[in-house]
Amino acid sequence: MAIEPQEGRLDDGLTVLRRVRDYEVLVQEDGTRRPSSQAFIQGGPDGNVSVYLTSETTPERITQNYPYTYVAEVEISTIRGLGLDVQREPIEGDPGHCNIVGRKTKSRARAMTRCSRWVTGYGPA
Amino acid sequence: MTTAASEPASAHTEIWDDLLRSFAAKASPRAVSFAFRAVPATGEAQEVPVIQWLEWTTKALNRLPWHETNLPDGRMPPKPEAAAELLWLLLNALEDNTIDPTAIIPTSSGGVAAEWHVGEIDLEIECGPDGTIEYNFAGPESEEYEGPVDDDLNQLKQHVGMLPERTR
Repeated sequence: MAIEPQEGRLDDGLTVLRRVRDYEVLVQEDGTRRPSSQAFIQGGPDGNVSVYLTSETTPERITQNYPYTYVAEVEISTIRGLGLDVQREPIEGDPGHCNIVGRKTKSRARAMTRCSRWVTGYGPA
Repeated sequence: MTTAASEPASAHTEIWDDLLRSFAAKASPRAVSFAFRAVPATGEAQEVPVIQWLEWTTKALNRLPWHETNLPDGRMPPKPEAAAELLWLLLNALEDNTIDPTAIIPTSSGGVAAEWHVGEIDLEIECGPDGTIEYNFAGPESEEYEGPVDDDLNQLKQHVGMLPERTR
């Protein structure tokens, strides 16, 4: 699936936040926890994965209506390095909302989770 | 892993009734008896050997957010049919001494997935709400497969065979 370029390309150095439900958290062999690939694959009905620019919101804000939900952070450069892209798509009340677009295979989703870090709960992964 | 919000016991019973009805329609009698042994809430337990990964898996299934509707980012609650499909597949593809999955996780579209992340092996089997079954395997020598499960399960069984066995 070709990714349509977007005007106002987001800077590679930015990071985005992804909501992770408690049941999407894996305990790894060394005892640390990371999100499952399920947390970074096909989000809404359109197949895009919703994320939020770290610089434009807070973990507390994006989880305030969702109990048992943690937040992981990934660099946009990491996502682009996997052949995907992050494109801004503001929604009401959240101008920093973006989508991860492109073909999200299991291996790409897993790579994103392995490069992510917790910003709420669970401590550093 | 944190347990999701608690549900009334009757809601769980309904889910397991649905799950086992779906499962029994497809599984062999042996597999059904294993499943009933592992789900005591459904009635009288039968005397069959305990398969540890099955016991672990049914407990993990019981913790899924079957009735939750306030899920973030368009996620759907899992469907019992997908869980039944997953149980049927695992009973046919795994050995009794296969190591427990790392996690049982609902997919965002209402399916259920079993994942192993052991050593340098990643294996993820996903049953969708529409009956589709796909899996992804990544091995220690960078070999990778992502796609549907073959009809005779031979390829999946080969990949499952690369997981370490349970040590007793």
